[in-house]
Amino acid sequence: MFLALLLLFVAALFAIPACRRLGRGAVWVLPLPFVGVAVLLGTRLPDALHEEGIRQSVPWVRGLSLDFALRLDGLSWLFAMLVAVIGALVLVHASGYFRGDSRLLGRFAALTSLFATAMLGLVLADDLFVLFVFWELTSICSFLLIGLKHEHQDARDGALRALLVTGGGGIAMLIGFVLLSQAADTSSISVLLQRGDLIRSSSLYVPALLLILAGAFTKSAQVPFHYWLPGAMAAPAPVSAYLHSATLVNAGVYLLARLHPALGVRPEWHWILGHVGAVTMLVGAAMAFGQRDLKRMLADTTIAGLGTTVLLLGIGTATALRAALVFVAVHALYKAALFMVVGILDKRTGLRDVDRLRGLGRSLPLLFLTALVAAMSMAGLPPLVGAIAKELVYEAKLGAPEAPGVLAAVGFSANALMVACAVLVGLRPFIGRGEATRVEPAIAPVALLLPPALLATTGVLLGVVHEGLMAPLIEAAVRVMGAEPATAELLADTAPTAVSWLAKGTLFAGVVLFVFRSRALAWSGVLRRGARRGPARLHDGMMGAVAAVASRVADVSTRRPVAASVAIVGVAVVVITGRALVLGGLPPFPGDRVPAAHEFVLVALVLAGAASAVFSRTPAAAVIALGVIGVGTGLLFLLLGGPDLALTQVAVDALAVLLLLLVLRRTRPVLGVRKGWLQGGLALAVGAGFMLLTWAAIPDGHLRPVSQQLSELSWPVAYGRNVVNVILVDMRALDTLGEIVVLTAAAIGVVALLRGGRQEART
Amino acid sequence: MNIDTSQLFAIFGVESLLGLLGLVLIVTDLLVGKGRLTGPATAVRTLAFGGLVAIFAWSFVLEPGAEGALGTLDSFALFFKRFFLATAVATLGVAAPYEDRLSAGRAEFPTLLVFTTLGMCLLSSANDFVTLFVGLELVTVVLFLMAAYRPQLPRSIEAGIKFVVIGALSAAFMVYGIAFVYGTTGSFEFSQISAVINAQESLPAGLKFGLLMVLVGLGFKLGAVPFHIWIPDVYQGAPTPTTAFLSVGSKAVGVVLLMRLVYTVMGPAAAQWTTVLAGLAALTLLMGGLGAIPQTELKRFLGYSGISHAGFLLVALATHSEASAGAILFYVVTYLFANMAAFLVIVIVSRTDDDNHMDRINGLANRSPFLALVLTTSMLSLAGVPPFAGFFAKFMVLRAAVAEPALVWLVAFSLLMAVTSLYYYLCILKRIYMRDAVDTGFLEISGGARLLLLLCMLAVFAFGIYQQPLVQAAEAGASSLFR
Amino acid sequence: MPDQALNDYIPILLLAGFAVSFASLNLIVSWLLGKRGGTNPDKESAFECGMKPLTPERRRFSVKFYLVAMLFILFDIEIVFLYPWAVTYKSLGMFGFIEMVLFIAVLIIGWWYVVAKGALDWGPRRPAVSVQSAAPSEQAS
Repeated sequence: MFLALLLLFVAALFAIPACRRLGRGAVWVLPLPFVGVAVLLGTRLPDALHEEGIRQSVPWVRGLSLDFALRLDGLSWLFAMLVAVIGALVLVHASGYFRGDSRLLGRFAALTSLFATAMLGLVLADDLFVLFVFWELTSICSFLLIGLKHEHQDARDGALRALLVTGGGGIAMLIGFVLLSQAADTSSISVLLQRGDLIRSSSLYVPALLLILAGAFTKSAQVPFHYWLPGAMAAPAPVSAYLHSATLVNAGVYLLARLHPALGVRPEWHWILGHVGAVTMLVGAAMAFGQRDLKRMLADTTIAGLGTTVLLLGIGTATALRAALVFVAVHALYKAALFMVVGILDKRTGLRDVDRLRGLGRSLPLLFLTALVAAMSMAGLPPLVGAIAKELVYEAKLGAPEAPGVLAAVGFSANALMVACAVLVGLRPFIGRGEATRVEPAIAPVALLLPPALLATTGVLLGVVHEGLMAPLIEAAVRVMGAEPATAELLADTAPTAVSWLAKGTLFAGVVLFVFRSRALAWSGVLRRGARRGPARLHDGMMGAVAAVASRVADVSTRRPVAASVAIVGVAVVVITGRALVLGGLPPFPGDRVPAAHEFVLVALVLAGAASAVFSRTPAAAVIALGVIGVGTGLLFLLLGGPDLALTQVAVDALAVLLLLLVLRRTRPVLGVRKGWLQGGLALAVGAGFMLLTWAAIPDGHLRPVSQQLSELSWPVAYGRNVVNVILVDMRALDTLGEIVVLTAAAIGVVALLRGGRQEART
Repeated sequence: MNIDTSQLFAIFGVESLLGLLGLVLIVTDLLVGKGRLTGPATAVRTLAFGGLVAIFAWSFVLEPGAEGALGTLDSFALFFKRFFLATAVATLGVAAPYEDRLSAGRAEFPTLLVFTTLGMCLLSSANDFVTLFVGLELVTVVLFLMAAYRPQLPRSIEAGIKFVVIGALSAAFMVYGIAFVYGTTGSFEFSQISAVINAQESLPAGLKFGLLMVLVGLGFKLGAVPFHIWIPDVYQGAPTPTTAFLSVGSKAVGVVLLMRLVYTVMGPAAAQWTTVLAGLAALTLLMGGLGAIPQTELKRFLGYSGISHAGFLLVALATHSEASAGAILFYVVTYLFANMAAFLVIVIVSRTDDDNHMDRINGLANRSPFLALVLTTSMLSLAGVPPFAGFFAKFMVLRAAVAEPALVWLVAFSLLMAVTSLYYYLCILKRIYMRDAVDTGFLEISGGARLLLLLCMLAVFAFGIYQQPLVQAAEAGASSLFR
Repeated sequence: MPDQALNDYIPILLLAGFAVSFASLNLIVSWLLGKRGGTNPDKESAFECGMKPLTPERRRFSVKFYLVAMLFILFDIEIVFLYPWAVTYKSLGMFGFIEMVLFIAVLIIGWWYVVAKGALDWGPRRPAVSVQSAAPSEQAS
């Protein structure tokens, strides 16, 4: 199996040079790796049908105990074959579609091969995180493929939206995987599947389930994440034929099927999957019916089809599981064919509008035949395999343990709409009269036509010989999924009457809807608009909000006055240090006496000074108010027994005020800081912060050896009783000298600058 | 104080060689250039490149284990010495196509780079605060110069000045903190400080304050919010090679020193810091996740993206386990390759009119598929998309963090921010693949540049698929922090 | 703090006193002996061929002053490091000699660089950065 992955990866590497060299001949070479993979898978089929299938594993990241493990059993074989076979056909088709532009073909082939590698890895993965890696790879490749041939702005936005939704879902899924691997104590899927009971009884079950479902639903376009799929229709038709019918969108369904033994059986699983699937089915079918663009119509029917599959997986009976797998395979076959047909129509006529495409049957007979057959499979006309799928689905719905009637009714409506769509796609463009009859009746190149024809034919063949080919495979897959294989045949001729009546009724209702299409459209106009607009609008709205918030956030760092930046840093420092210090416990409040009356007066003076500094109108007044603060604080020091401190305080304050006033005389600044509540609050906060810091830093009894020694020496050695003065003037006198020198130098510098300014102002 | 100098050469071998290389470069420039200030500097550049590569190769001969009074050569230090040497080599590669935009000082640039790298290697080995500070200042001061290297451009001078002011501020905070730590513990050496810290239950207020001030100073270097204010303007204004070096080197310096602080100095007591670091991480992630969305200039964009990565590194720091330490080492290496490739692409693409607006990369897929591929790989790795190395880096960080029940909210928040950052990286991809090109000239890519781009791209890809050697190296490096 | 240690600082005090008195002496003498007479603004303005200056004088200092000062400090510190070695060089022997040779060699390379690149040149011989005519570029770097 590693060989298969390697094959496709090498194909991706060599695709571009191969196309450049071979030109027209590329059509023979490009699909070869895919064919090779299909052959490889075919040879392994007998082994794969065994109990546990085949496992291959290589140790990968020892540090995370992650192994690169692959597993081939019935379930993964089915999906892998789809990847390989449809991939080969799509490449053949593409070489006809992109004929003449070998560069584009090369890029398409490279990206498609890369995508196929990722998809193959996804379905073969036997480890949760390996699966995640391939999951994200498929998202990236799909983004690049959509961007292959971009024309319109909304096309690019569509690609981005698609990737964002699936990427976001992927990340949620990753967390879900982590939780799941913790609940099961392993990340290996094979081991996980055997610990189903352990997982289901774990407390992590519900969050893990929700997250994993988020990933699966985003990928498989379930409501409300379905809106990215129509946007992805900007991709060229061959891309849609591969990704959006058979492979990428089925990844979510595959995940659900794979994890069914581990996550299933619990009521949450059934409830969520059932409801989401049913709603998606209806919404998709309704949207499809109202579409005019054929490609979007196919996209919407794909949504409906995926909804059906999810619903069936939610039902969970053996029949339902069987029906789900058959449906997936059948859907892939006819949807890919139809996408290719629509692509050819678009290429030949330049139109995708269902109301304008008419009467092409005469000019494009083979295409008509192919489209008709594929549409019949979609509609569920026997003897095509689509009919078998339809009947199985109804059988499953009727056999559901809860609300079979409701399910059948919902399924009926949805399927009727789908039948109508099938007729719209497969029949309508080719009959009647219309402006598009002007297409020259040329036969499309073989490469272009052969693949859809093959797919359509397969639909017929499988319808006839289903038992030998499909039954054992489906049974093995179902067994892997944890349900008991039934001994009943795939399509017993003794099918219950209800089922066959339902099937026939659907066909009838679908035709009726087709005939009365315009009237039905008029009635359901409002509903359709709502369904289409809703989530997409929400998504765009959210993105818009995020962008707006981001702009504001980025602005915080730029285009701010310096004051604001300083404020931010100051507050941050205070908060960080304050929180840590205060949480450590503050020492007791150092208040051992009541302040005297005059001390209150001085404090009031200081506060008044501060207030007037803040609220004064001219800078000079503010500076003088600052001086008042200084004088008040100095007086406080004086009264509390520190004359030298008071002296220093007053001296420094006077000097500062003088200097500031001098500067103000020369420069005349404007007070530009806003004085709003925010600034006031910030200032108070910083002030309070510093108060707390000071409080917290009050020494809690640790004796500082130096200061004790100094205070002891103060009288005997230096003949001074005021220790502070002694230290300043005697013990650390050189420090003081240095400070004086620095201050003098600064003063000289300031004077020089001011004098220079004065001279300049004069001339 | 007895200084044990016997092991000095063993510990500081790389630094000695770098110093010698720097001197040789100066002499070469004087001999070859004959004292002119302008003009080409091929000899110096080649010699610098060769010298750095040689020292890098030689560093693999060194064995960890030497320890002395001024520094230590444990495997953590050795890992980062090699890392800084690799960063310097890559920066020279980014500078090569940029050279013709430098009107003067072409020979001085590699020399300055060598000296900065010397400082970075020095501080990786630091086991006391003095060596740490010396190394840090050497790095910072030279980076001031490199940021203002094109003085004719107002933006470059603006970047230099802003950087100087912020650098001085952060150094001031740091020294203030170191002083407090010294005052309360009586030593500069990490081992002794750690002993004091872990000997008592609750730390004295002065010590806490000092450690927090050091944290603030280092936060500036790393670009943690709210100390990130300088990053957008300096990144945008400085010449692109300097920005490239800053984005990886300065961040790594912050990381190295924070790891020494948290793991070596604080040791087991660091568990008390989890909340502070987690809060910083969350704010940083928020700014990094949202700030890049409205950007239209490439270097500013990478600045905000770098802030987001700093957030992830902080998450790992907050986790404080051996697994998270190994994750950090893995992360910086992947970040190095992804970022350098992106910057080299920016240099090549902005060549014609010296402008780094995002329109330069419009339609790159058509103009040069090679550059588009490299930039795509780089962006996807930075976004954390598998199978690139960046995904595993983030995965390792988050996996380590999930094991800590108190940090679950942080993990969830970081994943949310990862989604928003995915959005803006995808916008770059959208420009590359889905917009029509604004410039139409031919993009010339020299052989050396091509080689470097290819190397970075392959490294990002290879480390995504086969991480084992790098994971082993990272774990070996981290283990020495937990002796 | 014992009194004896402070005695070693007396020479510094003398030196400081000498410096201050010398500077003041010069200023006082020139004030005493210099020409008395008013200064008016016209006398102190810049000379522009007898016309009144039209533009305010650029008060920008050339960066060369700063360069010279900074380089002086660097090499002065080198000298400061040389003094202790000079005093104890006998006891440090060959090891000290080699160390100092290396130290001086590093600084000599620096000095060579400074001289060769013309950092100490005083005349406007070589512009360091190619002058851009017209308006400076407004683009990002």
